[in-house]
Amino acid sequence: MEKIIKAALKKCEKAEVYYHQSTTTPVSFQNSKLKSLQTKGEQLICLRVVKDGKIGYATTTRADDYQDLIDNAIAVAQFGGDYNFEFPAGKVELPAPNIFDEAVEEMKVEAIVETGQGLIDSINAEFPEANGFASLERDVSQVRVLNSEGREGSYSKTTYSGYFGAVIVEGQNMLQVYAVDGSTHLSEVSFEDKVEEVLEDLRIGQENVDLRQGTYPVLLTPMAVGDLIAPVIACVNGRAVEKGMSPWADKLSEDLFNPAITLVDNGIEDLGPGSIAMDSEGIPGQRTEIIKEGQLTSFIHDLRSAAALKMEPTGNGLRRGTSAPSPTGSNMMLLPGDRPYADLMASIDQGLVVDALMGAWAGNPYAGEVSGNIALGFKVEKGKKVGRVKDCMFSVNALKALKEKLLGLSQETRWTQIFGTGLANLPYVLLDGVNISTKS
Amino acid sequence: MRETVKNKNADYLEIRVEESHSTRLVFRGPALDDLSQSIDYGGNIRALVNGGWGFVSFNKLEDLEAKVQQAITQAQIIGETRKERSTLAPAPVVRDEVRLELKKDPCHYALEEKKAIFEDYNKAILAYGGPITTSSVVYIDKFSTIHFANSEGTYILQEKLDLSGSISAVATREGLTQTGRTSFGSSDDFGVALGLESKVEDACQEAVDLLNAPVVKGGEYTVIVDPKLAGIFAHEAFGHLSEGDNVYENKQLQKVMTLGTRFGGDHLTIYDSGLDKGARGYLKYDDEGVATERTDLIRDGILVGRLHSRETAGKMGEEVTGSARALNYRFPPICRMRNTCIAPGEATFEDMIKDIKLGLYVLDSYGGQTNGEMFTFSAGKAYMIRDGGLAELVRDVNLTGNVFTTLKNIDMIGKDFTAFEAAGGCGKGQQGPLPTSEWAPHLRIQKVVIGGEG
Repeated sequence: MEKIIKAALKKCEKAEVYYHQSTTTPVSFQNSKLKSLQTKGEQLICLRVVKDGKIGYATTTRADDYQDLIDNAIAVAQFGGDYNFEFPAGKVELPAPNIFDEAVEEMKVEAIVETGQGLIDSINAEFPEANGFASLERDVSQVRVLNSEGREGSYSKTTYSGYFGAVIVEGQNMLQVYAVDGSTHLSEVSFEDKVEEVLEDLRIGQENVDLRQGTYPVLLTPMAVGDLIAPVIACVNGRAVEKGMSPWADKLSEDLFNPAITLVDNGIEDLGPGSIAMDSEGIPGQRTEIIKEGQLTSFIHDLRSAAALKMEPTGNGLRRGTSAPSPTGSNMMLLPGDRPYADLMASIDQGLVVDALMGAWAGNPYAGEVSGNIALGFKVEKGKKVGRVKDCMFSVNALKALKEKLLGLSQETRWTQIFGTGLANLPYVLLDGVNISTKS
Repeated sequence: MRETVKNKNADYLEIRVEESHSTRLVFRGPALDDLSQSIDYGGNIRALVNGGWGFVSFNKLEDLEAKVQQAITQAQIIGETRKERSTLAPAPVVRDEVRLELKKDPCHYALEEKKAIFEDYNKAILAYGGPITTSSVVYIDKFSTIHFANSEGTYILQEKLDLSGSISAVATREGLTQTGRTSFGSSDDFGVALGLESKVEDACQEAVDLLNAPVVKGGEYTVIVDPKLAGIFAHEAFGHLSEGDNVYENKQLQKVMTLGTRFGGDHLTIYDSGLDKGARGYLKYDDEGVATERTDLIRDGILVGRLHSRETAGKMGEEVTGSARALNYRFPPICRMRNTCIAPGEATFEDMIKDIKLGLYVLDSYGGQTNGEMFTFSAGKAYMIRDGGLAELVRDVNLTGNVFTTLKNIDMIGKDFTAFEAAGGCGKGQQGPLPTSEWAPHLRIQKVVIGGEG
């Protein structure tokens, strides 16, 4: 990497190199059988240069041939965007969140296979007709950043994550239930603990019940809360603020939500699957309070959005694939409430539990509209799930609902995947008066 | 490369090596947000032993022998647990080189010219005025060269181009944001990115109009969908269900998807084709080296086919269709769509609308999703239909329904047929966006559930 910087600086004023290397071992089960074992060895080098005040950016997966990489970056810089921020200079001490676990690194693929088979067997023990599936993955990666201004840093990380579940098809009725888990540490991951939830949903889910169109209290599981919180995460993205996509440019220190809402991006959470020592621009990882007790307190930034808005970078300049850095959450955490999940459930007289929404990501996030088919949801009567609801559309404006319709958050939280955003740690959320459209 | 996969201790072995060069150009607001060039070079080995697949992907091409051995060992571990016979449907041994035949080659436009073309569109949006506050212009092109060889003696070199873009105008007023958009895509012609000035203007007007439009009232409606949405409906609602890997080991789903079952009226024909040159879903050979074809899925309302890999075709005793596609060398091929089409029918737009008392005319889509039995889409925009005519524009229109009932509820199919190419693509598992196309006519569908306040 030093060589790349040195060679690039012969043709430009400033340069930054990002290097990522990973070995991933995905194990997948389909139709209750072990389906594939894979090993993926990947490396990526990203070069950003500044030439005549313009930015050039290029990437390659070839570590042996960096001359093309440099030529591409320099070629692009002729027509590139303006260099209107500063690469961080000098060495700094980086935080050291606990994100590397030798137990994950040394895990044998046979052990992952055994875990997966165990999960599927426990589902098939009660539901022999269910088509079990599982996708479990171990990842070991290294990141290094180096720039011409003397900033340098690197870290290694392990992740063990995945999902499992089952599909039951009966005539043209299909029921799919699954659970997710993941951590940097093996001891933190317990897919087995989630088997009972999957089984419970498979039991109740086989009975379809009718639901009248109307407004209901809805308890969203952490997976569905991911859809609800996605517009908030989109609106606090520094780039969206900078570009005027987000409606919140002038809303800092305003009370936007119910005081029960506190949203934190904690990049240095020990064992957090999204934790980092530094972002891909060399800014140390940090804990950022985004919404504090309902009040908007910060956006998340990369170098560019921070400079454009005259704010401080927040260590969120992360890359997706080969893209240039952009503000991206590390560990988005909606802090838990004070009520047990069981209490929230018991408080519903007539309502719904929604576990999975389909297509809710497709709307306009900056408008807050979250509208999706209830892929997995249950009618609740007197605090108990009584059957599955189908062909229903869930619609709320998330930005309004978190202010006006929030009844409570659970003490329990889960790590879950948010579409296009990454992992987040979320509680169950109970909303009042949610519109549910059904066939008449 | 060809030697690597010969005479090894596996039932089947293949190697794929891919090199791609892509250019990405993004304007957001007045600034050039991203201009970059990427080189992606890597490969994979896939081995089959006793019904189990091993897969190793890599960026470093050294030690191929060791990688082959690793893939075989992985396949053996699975083979031990499955104890099956490997079953691949037969496919002809092919030796071919597929070179690009381009209309307008994006390479003939220097980076500077490309930038100027998209900068002009971007400037037009920002100069539109009124509530148009910002813009987003994205252009991506990717040239790939893929070498494929398998243990049966097939060797194919394929060159591919995928280019696409989307141009969005964003209007904002009092915290409300609405977007108007135009999009393009091609596998052989940069010309689709040229001369979009009037479409860009339409997108601006659309964003402004949507800002003033009321939110749709939720409920059940008769809807007319435009060809763009109809195509995405065919893709989401039925295409995925036709993918052989969803069906071949699932006995209950096999029952539902028995060939010969009626899924719609006599007027309904849905097919998926790799043969349409210029479409993003065009493909001469799939990623198992099988020539593509036009595969009829539903013909005259009856289920007649599905999209297969060699394994799913073999296990189901059906023919290969050339539908095994991989996003890139990091992934094994799985059953995917190419260009999914609804064949045109006989109705005119007037036939469709004239007897609708209260309904919706729904256009374009920001995306959709399916879980097999249900689907949902977010529409670009929609007009109310009142007393047989188009009425006011409405916004935030989301459609949902059961796949099987909705197919049966298609009661009219337009005689128009639009070859719609757009940015984005199809996601399945972790493999997305894969370039696909959707071509279709207008459709009329009874009893579609629309989300929103009642």
